Amino acid sequence: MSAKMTSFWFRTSETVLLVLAFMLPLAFFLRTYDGAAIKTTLFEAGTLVLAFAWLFKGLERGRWELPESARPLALPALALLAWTIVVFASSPYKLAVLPAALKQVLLLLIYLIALLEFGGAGSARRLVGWLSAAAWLAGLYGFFQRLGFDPFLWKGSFGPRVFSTLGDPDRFGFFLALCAPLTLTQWLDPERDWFLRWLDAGLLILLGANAVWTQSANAIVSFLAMCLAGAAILPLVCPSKESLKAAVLASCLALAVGGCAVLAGVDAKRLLEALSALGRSIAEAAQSPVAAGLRLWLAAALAAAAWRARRLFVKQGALSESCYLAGLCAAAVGSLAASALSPDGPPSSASWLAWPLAGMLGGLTALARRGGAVIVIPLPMGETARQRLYAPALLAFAGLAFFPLRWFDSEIEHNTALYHCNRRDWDQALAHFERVSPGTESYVMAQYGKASAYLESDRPSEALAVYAAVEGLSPDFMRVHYEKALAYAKLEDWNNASASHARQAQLDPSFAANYAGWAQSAKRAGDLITAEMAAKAAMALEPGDPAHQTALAEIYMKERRVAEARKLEKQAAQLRREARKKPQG
Amino acid sequence: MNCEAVLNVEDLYTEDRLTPSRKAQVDAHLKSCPLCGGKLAKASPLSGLKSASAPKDLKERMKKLLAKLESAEPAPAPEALSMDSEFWPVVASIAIYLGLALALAWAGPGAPSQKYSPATAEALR
Ligand SMILES: [Zn+2]
Repeated sequence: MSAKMTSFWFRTSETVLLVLAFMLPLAFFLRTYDGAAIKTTLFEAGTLVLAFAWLFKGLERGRWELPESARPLALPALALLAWTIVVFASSPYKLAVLPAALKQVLLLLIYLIALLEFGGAGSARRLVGWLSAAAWLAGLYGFFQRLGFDPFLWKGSFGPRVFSTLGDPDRFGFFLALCAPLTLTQWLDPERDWFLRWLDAGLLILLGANAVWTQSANAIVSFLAMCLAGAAILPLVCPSKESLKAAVLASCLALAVGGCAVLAGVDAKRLLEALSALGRSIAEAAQSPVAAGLRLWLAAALAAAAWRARRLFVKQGALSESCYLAGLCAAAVGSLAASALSPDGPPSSASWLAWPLAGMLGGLTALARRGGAVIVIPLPMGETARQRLYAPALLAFAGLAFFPLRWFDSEIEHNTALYHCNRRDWDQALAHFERVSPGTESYVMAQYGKASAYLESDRPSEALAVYAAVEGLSPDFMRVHYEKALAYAKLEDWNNASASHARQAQLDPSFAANYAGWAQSAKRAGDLITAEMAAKAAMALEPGDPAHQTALAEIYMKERRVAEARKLEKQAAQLRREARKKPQG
Repeated sequence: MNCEAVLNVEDLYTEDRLTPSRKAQVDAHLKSCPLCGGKLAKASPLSGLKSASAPKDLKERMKKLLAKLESAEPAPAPEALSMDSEFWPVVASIAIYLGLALALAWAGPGAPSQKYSPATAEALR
């Protein structure tokens, strides 16, 4: 076996992980609809390289191994991986759920690779170092956004709220929160230079200030959760005078951020609302009890391993290890708390970091019992035979690497199609929607857009065919039944139009335009009772719109309730006169 | 296990780090295969050292050697920033990415993001 090549593959995978840690928070590309879509591409491509580097390392050595002490940490992740695949395989809407399922699989892969490969204080130190470099850049960009300097297209997309390179205040807030305990850990690192420790303290202030500037209740609750987790866990796992100081620092930061947030006008009530999301998270977890149970198993296994490793590290006097163990524990506990506290879970493109960090935490605990037994899967072939496997493995890698690139291209096409939609250039829009390939996050959305383009360019039967396809991908997607009803109305198929409006009203009972359309369709279909009910619902939702009153008056006329119709028409005329007066006044 | 699989784990076997079941498999193979048994005995530098003992003056000799090395070598300069070998591959990858991203953003395909175009940005707010 060639030790040189083995170490080459190890260094490649570590480089990829560090590049990901640095680039994922920073990368954005403003030629896709969502400027942060490139993060998904980078994440997918990076995980692919990581997985293949691990595979090649095994090929080079002729075996894959797992320290026996890491087995309890790998088993729950493998079970969760298997469960994710089973759920995906049994889903009737595979294309719609593919992006989410793929993300979960890749996150588990990153966790497993970090667990197996990067279990040392050195790896943790480098990862945290590159992350804090990214946090510096993102934080400084946030600072300039706050001052009103933003050279990019998305300037001011969220009003005065800063979002930095993460493209969204909530996402940015979660990233800032995650960086807080890690920066504290770096500050605590016994091998850290005094000058760099001052820089770390500066970074903590920059992180806190940005968290306040996001004006996002979720971000601030996450930040407080992370700081408090740091304050509680650092002295517990890494008992020393310095870690007590770090705990005081974290508590002060939490107090300052909480206080400034309330002073800056983030409603304290909204902070409490975010806290009440905890109950909702538990209810949601109860909806998929198997996945929640497996996650709980993983968390419990990590906690138990961390506690055992803590004792060993303290006994051995391994300061760096015990410091990074504490920091990673704080980040993991903080992430769990933050994701339970935010109403729709942690923003996915920021939470990916929690997984490699958890993997490193597991790796560190396995390190505490160095030299233990190793579970090994040997390849039953010699070196020359193994070398012959290189070419097919590389081909498989190239084949899989095609997908993230193709999907990124699809995101660009989707954005271009929307650009043509906004200019009402339907033919061009249709051509670009056509090039969005399945598997990308915006695929269903692109099909929906394609159908709307057909509808707008007066091709209702083609639109209906595409809407049927959208329903096959994801039933009840956005306002698909309403749009279908409009297409049926263009074909003068009033019965089907009325039925589609009814379905949309069931899903979205406060959508006034749907009731108005329903009233028209039902009237044309001759179902005056339904038409009257729908028109009244539209009127109740938008009492100031005279069109609804006129529509109901027309139905009354058909029902020969002339007096009521006249009364409504008078009311409508009155409303129109008022509306005409308003803009003048 | 065949011969190749046994040879792929020989270092773990000689360091006694295999799980009991795997170790039993290797042992069983070594009993039936004299070829691997011979290779393993030759390959393991430690296998013949079980009864060897260290020379009596080893400690003194090492101390002297260390003292000599310490006096000969200047103290290594403290590393202010960890510009180690991991630093440059990462910087190179990031530079390549930034170059690509800027090139794409400048001359790349596609239209400016519609989510942040002035009209839609207004709607988002
Ligand atoms: Zn043999």
